[in-house]
Amino acid sequence: MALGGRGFVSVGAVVACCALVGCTSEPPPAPTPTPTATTPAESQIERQTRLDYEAAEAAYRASTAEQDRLYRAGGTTKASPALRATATGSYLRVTLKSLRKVHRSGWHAEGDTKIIDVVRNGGWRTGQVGLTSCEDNNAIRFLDRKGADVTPKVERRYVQKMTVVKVGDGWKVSSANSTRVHSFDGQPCAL
Amino acid sequence: MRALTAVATLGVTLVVLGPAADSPALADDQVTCTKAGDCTNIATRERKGRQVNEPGWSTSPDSRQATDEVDQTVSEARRKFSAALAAYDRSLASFNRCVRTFDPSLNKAGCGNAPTPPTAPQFRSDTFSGRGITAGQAAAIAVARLLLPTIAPGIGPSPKLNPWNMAAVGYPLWLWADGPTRVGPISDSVGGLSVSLEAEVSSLTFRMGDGHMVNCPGTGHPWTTAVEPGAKSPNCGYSYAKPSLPDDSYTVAAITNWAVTWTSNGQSGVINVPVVDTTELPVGELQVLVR
Repeated sequence: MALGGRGFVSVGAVVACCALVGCTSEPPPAPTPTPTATTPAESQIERQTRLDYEAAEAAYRASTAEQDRLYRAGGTTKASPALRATATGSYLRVTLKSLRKVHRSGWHAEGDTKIIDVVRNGGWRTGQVGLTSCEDNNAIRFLDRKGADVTPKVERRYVQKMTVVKVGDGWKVSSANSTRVHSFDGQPCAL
Repeated sequence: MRALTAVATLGVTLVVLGPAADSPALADDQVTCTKAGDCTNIATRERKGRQVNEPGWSTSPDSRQATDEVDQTVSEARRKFSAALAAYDRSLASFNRCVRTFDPSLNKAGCGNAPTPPTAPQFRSDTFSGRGITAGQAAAIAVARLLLPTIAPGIGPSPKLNPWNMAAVGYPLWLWADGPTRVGPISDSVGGLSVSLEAEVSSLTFRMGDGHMVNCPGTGHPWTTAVEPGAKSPNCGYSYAKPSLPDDSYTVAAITNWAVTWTSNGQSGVINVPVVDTTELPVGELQVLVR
């Protein structure tokens, strides 16, 4: 990549120090209460558990809303700050893969995810909770560049068993095990 | 008169990939579906092994003797449990080899872009009720079920802080563990035994994607805007000698070594768990025109 000609001096990056060290930064994830380092009393545990589940559910709902926005915007090639702040691990990877596919295909979405309800599942431990969501995506339509409906002809009602983890000060959905259902009848998240 | 010219490839995206932080409670064939209707099998595509340096994975003489003293149901459950542990042990050995040889620039050993820990063996803990499981076995299971936080490679100054969105050849980069470095104390119950866990990052290894490796004591020092331009990290840094651009980015892998201290039934020990995460780093050259 070196340029020829009199007067060109390759000096590496040191000369451009100031340009390299700008001052922008990522928006921080939404702060959540921090568990105490020592074993708290029972009431404190209960309170912390409740706060963690609330923060985890809020992260899931925020992630879902951000995904809806990105699908409506025509997908994306990289995770938005809001998506990175609410999703991680395999959940983020699979989501990004789908958003990239939509972007490559020139599609965009209309409609929103309908979350029937979110309930607790599994145990609680510091920095990790399990949630089960009844998630109905059937109202989301996908359109190609010409406006033709290209919505996949598959059932998109899922019972999502998710793991939500605390990363830094924020909670992120890290994995999801999806089960397609034709009806949410009898599901714990639809009672 | 001087003119400054930057030679760089613009528009390179920075993609951070985290390891799968999967729930141990999930089945092996975990499938994640998206709003577009496509589904991905996480188990076959993304799950790898986890290293646990813990003796006693096979059924010990003591526990074999104990088997004779319990009923047939427990004996059968223990047989399955031991088989699951043995299978898990093989995964750990595979993962161990994988981590030792993993280099994102070479992608050796079929490890993929970021080896991630496997799911803990599944078993019905109420079947055992504390009969025949050693404290070490219980601890190993508890550690395997422990979800350690994602720690992305911290690299500073971030390429996003300059107009070319890249790191520069020759510029001293600071490396650190970008995430929580302590977890716990956490309590878990395995086979009726209570296990207390506390995890801490003990060391950090970076594979820089250009064939070089950097071993760092502790967790490194985060770079901040207060750092004087051009200053080197006190204990964990690197300068690239060659650019990755214009064709590609370097895939930088951070191998975080967690030391998980366990206590159960009056015994204690330490299990080391490496976790791998990667990030893409575009590296280019900056040149100056002097007249």
